[in-house]
Amino acid sequence: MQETKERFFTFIGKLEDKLREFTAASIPELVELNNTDTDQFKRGYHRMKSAVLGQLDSIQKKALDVKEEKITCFPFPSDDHEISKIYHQFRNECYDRFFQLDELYSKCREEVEGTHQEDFESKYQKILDEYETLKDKFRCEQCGSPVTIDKIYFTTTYITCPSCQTRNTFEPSSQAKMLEHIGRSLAEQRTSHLLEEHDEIPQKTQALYLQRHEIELSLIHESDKRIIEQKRAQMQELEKQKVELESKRPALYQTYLRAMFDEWNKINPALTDEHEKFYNRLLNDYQK
Amino acid sequence: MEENKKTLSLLERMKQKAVEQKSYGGEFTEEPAKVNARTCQNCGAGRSQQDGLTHCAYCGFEFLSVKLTDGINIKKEDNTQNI
Amino acid sequence: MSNSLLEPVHGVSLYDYAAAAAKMATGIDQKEICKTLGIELAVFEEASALWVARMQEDSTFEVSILFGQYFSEADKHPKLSGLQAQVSEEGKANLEKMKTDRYFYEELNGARQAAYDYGYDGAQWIQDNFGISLGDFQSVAMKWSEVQNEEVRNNNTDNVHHFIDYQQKKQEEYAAKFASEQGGNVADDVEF
Ligand SMILES: [Zn+2]
Repeated sequence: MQETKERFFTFIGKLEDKLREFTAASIPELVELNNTDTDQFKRGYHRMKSAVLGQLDSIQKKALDVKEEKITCFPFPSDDHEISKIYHQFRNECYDRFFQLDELYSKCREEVEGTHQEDFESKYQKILDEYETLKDKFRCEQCGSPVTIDKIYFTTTYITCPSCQTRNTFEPSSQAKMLEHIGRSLAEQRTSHLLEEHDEIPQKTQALYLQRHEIELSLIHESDKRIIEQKRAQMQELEKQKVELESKRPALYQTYLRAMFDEWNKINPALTDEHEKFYNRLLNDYQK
Repeated sequence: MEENKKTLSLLERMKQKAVEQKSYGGEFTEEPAKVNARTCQNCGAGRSQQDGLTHCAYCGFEFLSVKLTDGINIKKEDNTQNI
Repeated sequence: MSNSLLEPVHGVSLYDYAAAAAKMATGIDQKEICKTLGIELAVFEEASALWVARMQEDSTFEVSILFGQYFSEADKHPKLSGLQAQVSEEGKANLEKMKTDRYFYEELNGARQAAYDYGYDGAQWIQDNFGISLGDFQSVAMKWSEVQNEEVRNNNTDNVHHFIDYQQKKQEEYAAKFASEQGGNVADDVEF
């Protein structure tokens, strides 16, 4: 068992080196491809990223398969109580070692995923710039009078000629048709700091809880009444802070959601009513 | 060193494959904005604001075989009335 | 119709919208679809945007679930069923087999996933090697996932696991093939 354990640890160590090395080598390649891929959906970049993740998966799977074969299925006489105890000890240590690799694997995956950057600000800016150049450019198909495009449209629509009343069909460019979609992503990007504030709360309350718990433990061997009282007060204060933080959480979510939808509405006001219904649904879902 | 070279050449091959491959649905072409106007294929009349969108005001030809509801920019009032 | 979210938009029903999406995914042109539905692009684009909004608004997911169901029934749509993309004889035979032979479906599913893991566009890979379009693939996948859901409801988990294992096995087979084509995996030289 000792020998198997050592071999397993070495094996896992080598795979971890591979994970680190391969991740480190792929990230600059992925960042470059993310910047240079001119495809509308960066499909070349996505294929490459998927292949890199596939390789990370293959490393993790190799570790998992060996763990199953050499550790989980390690043969030993199960009727011997002593050996059984030793085996469980051995198994737990190997499993722990595997979990370390597994954590590293998740971290590597996150780093690889993190190379995906989309510049929604500039995509939106392009739509705005395009609108400035096209709004006075068109003429009525029937009578040739100028037809003004009065706002940014993201769906094909009918625009009436002010001179002859003919309904002209205006079809927006492909990028303008993406306005609703880009709008949401951009609004989320612009307000992500507010969502973070909300998401951080459990971590913060956990820290307060641990602080309070430590003081509580230190009380066990405390006999000085004055100190006991002091510490009790500290504990109460920490508890109060924790409760306050927790009670703020729903309001922070609502603040985020409101800000996000306000941004989205600003970018694509045509669907404001629909956005509001979506907003109410998300808020209701949260409160459930 | 040897290790590193192997990784890099694997990455190089992966990248080449990713970039050179044909994407499903083919190249995406960015279409510019455009304006056109539909005329009745039956009598040649244009469509004007007061006539609505669904039928030709002159010969009744059906431009749209649906009943418009209140959408984004298109509204119920855009159904041709006198049909 | 009890759910007002299911009312047609500009006369475009959820079935129209879902079947149109399925047909476009098989490569049929949007203009062709509009013509067949008797509408113009302006109507279709507004209806599409509003159907997406309806799904976002709907906390019961009824609209999304129905969308999936209608998507896989595009070939029964009264108007759009007639629109058929160009499919090779081999593609037709494979599609038919995928609809009836669950093992074959699971194999393609595993192969497709393995293709993505080795940097191929899985949809394109299936198209190139089996002649099946993304839209047809998704439609059949939705049908089999309904079968699987039904099995879960009936506690027939043995069967569910049987096919999950089969898919896993096939995925590994294809992965091994792709790996040898690219000159191996990154950690091939690490041995226990
Ligand atoms: Zn006419």
